[in-house]
Amino acid sequence: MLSRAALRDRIAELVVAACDGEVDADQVLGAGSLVLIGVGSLASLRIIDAVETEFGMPLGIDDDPSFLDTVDGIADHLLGQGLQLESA
Amino acid sequence: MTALDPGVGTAAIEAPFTGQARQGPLTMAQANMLKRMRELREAADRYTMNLWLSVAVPGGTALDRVGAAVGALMVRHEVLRSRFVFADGQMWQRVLGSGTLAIGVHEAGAHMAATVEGLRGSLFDTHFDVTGELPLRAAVVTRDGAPARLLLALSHLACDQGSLEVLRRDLGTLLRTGAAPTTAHATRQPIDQAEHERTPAALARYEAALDFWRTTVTGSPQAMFAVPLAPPDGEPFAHARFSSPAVALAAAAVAARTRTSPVTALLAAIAALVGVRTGQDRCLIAAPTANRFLPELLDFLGPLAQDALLSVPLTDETFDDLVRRMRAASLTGYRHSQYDADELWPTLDAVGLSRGTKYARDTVVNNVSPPVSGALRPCTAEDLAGALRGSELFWIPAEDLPPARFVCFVHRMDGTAELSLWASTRHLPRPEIAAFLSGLERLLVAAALRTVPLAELSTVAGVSAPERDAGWVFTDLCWVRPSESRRVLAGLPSVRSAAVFASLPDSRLVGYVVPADPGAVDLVRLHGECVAALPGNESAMAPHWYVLCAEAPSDVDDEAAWRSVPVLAEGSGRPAPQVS
Repeated sequence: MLSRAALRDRIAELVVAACDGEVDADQVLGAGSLVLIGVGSLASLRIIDAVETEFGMPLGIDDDPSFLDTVDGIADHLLGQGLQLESA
Repeated sequence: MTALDPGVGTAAIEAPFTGQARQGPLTMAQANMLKRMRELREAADRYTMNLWLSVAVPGGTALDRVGAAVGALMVRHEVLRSRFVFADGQMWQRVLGSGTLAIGVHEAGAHMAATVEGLRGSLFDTHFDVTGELPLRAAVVTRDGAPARLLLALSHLACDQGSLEVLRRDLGTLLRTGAAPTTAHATRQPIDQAEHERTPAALARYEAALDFWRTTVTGSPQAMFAVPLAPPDGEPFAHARFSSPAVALAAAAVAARTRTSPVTALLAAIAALVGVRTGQDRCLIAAPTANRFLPELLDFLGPLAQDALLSVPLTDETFDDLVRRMRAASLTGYRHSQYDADELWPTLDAVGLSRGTKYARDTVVNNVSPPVSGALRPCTAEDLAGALRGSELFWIPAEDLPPARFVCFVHRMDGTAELSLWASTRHLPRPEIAAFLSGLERLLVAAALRTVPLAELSTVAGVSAPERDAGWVFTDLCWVRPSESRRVLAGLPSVRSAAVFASLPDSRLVGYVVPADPGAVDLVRLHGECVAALPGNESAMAPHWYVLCAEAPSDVDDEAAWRSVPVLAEGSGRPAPQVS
């Protein structure tokens, strides 16, 4: 299991890879909005695919995909879907 | 233009290739494409479905280098050196290990355009025999003996529009440097893709896509443009091109506020105005997609493009809400845009049989714009006022694109929005095409500066709802005319007389039918025939309930009179649900 910090770091790595390195991890972790730093629709599709593959659970984007706009949003969504963190 | 023989040029060169020989199954898209190519060829021999690429050869490039570049391209992309063969009950693609492609060389002199056009006729307008010939033909055009253009015609089995961009890039680099470009990701070859498609994970994904289409089509209108038709004016289709810096600026501002993308904001505007123009509170859009978002498919050569289905309700409070909803619909639609079309159409036919409808695919938005670069940001009224001075609309020749009624291409959204709108003029007459495009601009410009309530759409955009008379009813999410349903039903060979009425309170359609042969009464067959006759008439739907009558009343327009005649049988005509 991951810590919250490790989960955020891993998500950031997946976002960077999905953007072919056009953004870096610091930008991604500090962004108030991934869209506003240039993460477009194609990258969003790749992020969904990568996160689902990495964590083995469907993200469920049908109703409201706004959680995809921040690393914390994605982390919270995964936790809401049942991902377990290591206990402190 | 006279076609030239591409093999009889002033000279000929060879493109040699050497690589790994292998054999494997076709991808789903190739199998579907092969079927489509055969169907179209049976319908009309002129439809080759070939693709065409014309590349400028850099000055000073020797002929041998052009041949070597084409050979290297064929080494890099297995499908270009493949033949398609039938064996053991199925089609296979057989990748050749080595060989050469003959390339004719044609001197253009002062007639470059005419020479290219002539070669296009011979290279492009002839069907490929994909079992006996490679899916690629090439010619070089020289000017004063120096290579000037490299022309390629490709079978659609080996290529789609997305592939053409890969080929253009690869050829450009090969011609300039002699080496193929490096790519960031390993690329699947078609045989690899075909094998991937047979993995459990991929099969589960395709099954999920079919479920998505089934559910979405079931919960959407069969057609958006079930509208009162304008009188025919001798011009069945019209095609306008619209260039608008203001649309690009405004869509970026809306995207920045809603945390979406400029194309999503534009798609939402299109959906909103199609909804207004057709009087629908849900918009269903077919959006062809390249299906190349995964890294391993970025440089894939072969058909991958398929429709994504975008369905949005138009009942939110504000346009911003709709834009956010469109983002969800787009991501969901694009994630369900890989499927086996051979399974999709029977799935949709089953939905149609159950509802008595036909999915019309009449509203198409094809986004071929490159990604918008740079940060999204708000804009001011002054910015927009300046940008609006750059808007320009002009008309271009309209091709024949049925069954669609409305096809919008998004060519560009970066800096200036370049859109084109093709429409059937009986469904959207020429002045309304222009009004629709300027309405998109007005809506997005307004939405860039404030939150626009959806209730104000018509006023803000200047696009009006259709005026439907009492002959129209709204049932099962569709606008239909019972008189059109009657026309379809009465036109069936098995029917002698028919009438269709909408019953209260939900406007479900009841069809009264006098069969041509009262001894051969089969409601399921009758319903199947009726649904099969729907395509092309989006304002007709099959009855929800059939009443087979022994005779027609004297007044066939009087529903009460139909109720008084002897009944042979009645029922929905829907097949009984399968119990497993």
